[in-house]
Amino acid sequence: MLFPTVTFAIFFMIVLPVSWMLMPRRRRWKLFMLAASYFFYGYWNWRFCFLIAVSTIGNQIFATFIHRADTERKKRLLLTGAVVANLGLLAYFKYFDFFVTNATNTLDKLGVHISPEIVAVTLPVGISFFTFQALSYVIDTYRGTFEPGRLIDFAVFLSFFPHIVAGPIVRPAEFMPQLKERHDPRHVDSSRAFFLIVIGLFKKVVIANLLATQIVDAVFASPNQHSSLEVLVAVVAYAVQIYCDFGGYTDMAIGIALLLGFRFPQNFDSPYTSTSIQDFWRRWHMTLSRWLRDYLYVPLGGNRSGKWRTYRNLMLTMVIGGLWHGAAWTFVAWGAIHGTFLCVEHWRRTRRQAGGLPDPTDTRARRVRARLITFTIVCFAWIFFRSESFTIAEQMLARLFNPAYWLDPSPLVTVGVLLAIAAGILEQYVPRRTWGRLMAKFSNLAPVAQGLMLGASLLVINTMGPRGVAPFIYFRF
Amino acid sequence: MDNEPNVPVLLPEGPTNTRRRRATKEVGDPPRRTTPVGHVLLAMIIALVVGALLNAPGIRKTALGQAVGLKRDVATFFADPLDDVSHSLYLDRPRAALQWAIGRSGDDDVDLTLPSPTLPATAGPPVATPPKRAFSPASPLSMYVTGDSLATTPGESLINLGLATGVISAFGPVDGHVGTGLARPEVFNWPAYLAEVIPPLNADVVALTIGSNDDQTLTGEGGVGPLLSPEWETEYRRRVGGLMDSVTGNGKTVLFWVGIPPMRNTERYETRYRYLNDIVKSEAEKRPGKVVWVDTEAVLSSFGGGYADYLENPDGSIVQVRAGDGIHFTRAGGDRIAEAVLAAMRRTFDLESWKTAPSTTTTSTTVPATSTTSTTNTTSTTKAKRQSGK
Repeated sequence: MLFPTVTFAIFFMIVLPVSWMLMPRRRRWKLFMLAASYFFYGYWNWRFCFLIAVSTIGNQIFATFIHRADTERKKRLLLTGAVVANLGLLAYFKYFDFFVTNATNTLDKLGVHISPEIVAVTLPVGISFFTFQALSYVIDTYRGTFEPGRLIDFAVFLSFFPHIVAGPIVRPAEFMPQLKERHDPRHVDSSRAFFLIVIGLFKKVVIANLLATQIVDAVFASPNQHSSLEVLVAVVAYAVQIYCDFGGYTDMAIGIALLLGFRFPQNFDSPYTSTSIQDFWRRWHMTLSRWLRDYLYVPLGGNRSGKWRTYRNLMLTMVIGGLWHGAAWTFVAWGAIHGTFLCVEHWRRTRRQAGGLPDPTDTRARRVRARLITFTIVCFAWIFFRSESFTIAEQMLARLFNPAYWLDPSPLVTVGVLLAIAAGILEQYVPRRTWGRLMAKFSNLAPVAQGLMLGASLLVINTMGPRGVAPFIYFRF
Repeated sequence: MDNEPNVPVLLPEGPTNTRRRRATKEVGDPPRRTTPVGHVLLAMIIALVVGALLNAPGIRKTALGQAVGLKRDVATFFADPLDDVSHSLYLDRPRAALQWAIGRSGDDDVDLTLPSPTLPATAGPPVATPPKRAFSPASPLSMYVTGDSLATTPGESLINLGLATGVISAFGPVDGHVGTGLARPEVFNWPAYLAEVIPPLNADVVALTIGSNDDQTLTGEGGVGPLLSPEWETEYRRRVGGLMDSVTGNGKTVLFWVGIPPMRNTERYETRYRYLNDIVKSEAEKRPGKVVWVDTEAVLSSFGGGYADYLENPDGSIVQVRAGDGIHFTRAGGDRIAEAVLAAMRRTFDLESWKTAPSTTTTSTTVPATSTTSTTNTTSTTKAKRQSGK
């Protein structure tokens, strides 16, 4: 079930009032929300509901035993078991084909010919997201920063439908205490929720879909068919598309959760206003980057063991982060590019500090330059992320820099495409207080006026968006 | 930040953009009024009703596009009166105006007419095999690739491989229309669409893949069911033949109809898609020189025949050819289908003799069907890539 569909609208119009009606009776509410979430997830493929159920029960058992274990050794052993089980599940569904194909072909090159009977594995939607959330649960229990809750609470946390398929990656400590809070039905932060839902819909249905269908898909499929300008615009368009697609989804997810009375962490903070790659990772897919920081980078040693270890840890974290997105070497390259630039930035910063030099003055010109450089690096990395192979990435780059194609006609670079790119980028430069004022004004309107405004926005979104709704990019991750 | 001092990456707690955060801190978000759930529901109901009335023509088209059955009946039961009310209250005007402003007037139109074949019912005297039309980098074969979702990946491969020959040029990217076919003209009317798109292109070749969404009751003009009944087959043949004659009616365009390959759901493929393939193949055979049937069954089958997720390359390595859904293709699968289409094009046209012809040749010519190929001319190929690259 996709958020921007009539099916979801009907589903949510039933779930919302029933959820608030049952809210005072906690147990009934949890059972209802669990059923609603499984229905939402099973709408794609009901068989994968068993996968979530198994993940829930398995991780609850691990967390409970870790919590009860009386020695560090036992705790560590149980944690290892939990991590292996979770990553094993993820590896089977997400990386099995990749590993078998690469292993078979490597052996073939070495003269060992085997023909395994392999069948392509169907990737369950959102498996990376709920596996990471489950891992948070057992690791936090192991660290003693979180006490495991009841099975029903954990089940609701893991399957809660606003975040189950594409995040944000919510921590148990952020969500599960909310299950015990008293949610007041007289005070719903609806103006923020409606804003997030409408803006998310616009980003996804209009901007992301338009850019995908008008230029990005065509150029990344056959770069050799396009001019340098088309390739350049397609790369920038993809940067905007993936932001609007994923950012739009999480906006909607956060808004929907708010209407149900729950708060999710922020996942994007105007990423294309970043002034460095480090800054970018504080603003892009924030819940993933902090997950990688807390459960991978810090355990690896962080920056505590000298500069070379720091560089190694940065590279490992980013490469694994790249691989998290999918089983392809292009994702590894994307992670490695980000890792490399993070290392370069770290090296420059430490060199400056070692030389006793002050931080550069924050001027407008310096900020603009830093933003342009950062955006260029990010776009360069997106080429590898979006390309289905290195051949395509190579063709994109060759086409971009070969003067023979600079003056070729560029029919795909239309006013609509340029306007969509501009809208996707400029939206990030709108000051936060402007959104705040608009939300405050909206919140003062009567429900009828709010409904009329929302209805009018549905007209704009539905009319301007291409027919049909393309799946969200991050669903496959 | 837990126990990690001075972590250089990934979300430290401090501000990210000094100036902006300061501004936010100084100003802060103005206070918002919270709302009772009842008001939230009221606003949502009004929004959905108003949104539905303003978008009624689009909703009606979406409802008509549902699979024939209860879901479609229910959807149209609500969508039809909604559209009537919207129209009588002039509430459909803003949508029409917005569509006009963005150049998409007619998005909500539903055209149910479908052309019949223009080919004589009885076969005439046998026609001598026409000579092969020859193409060169200076006068490349122009190709338009279109179809449903099965056309996308192989179409992209076909364009890439075609451009690499130096003698084939493509009109834009693959013109894909997901979830469409000949069964449901209210969803997408292929004959009407192609009748509008193809004449200005005047393409030498149209590569088309449709049919994978056609194993259902036929709606629109001549609509009939159920699937596999004699009436169904007669009507589907009419639609297929009508489309073929419409596309090739200019006497120049050759239609390469790419068949549906085996699917993981073997029973469905055997009972439905092979049946559809046979209909299209037999209609193509009635139109020699105009329509070429490209069989994909052998291209993507395992050694023992039938569906395969993975296939072996000639060098012994294995490669995944089908997507996880068991229906669509990976790039390698798309490449294999594209190679089959290109091979069919080579059999139909002369795409090789330019390599040995004098370099002054600038126009397409007709050469005997027996013309032979020659060795590759690297310089000419490089030049051709540039010329036909766009």
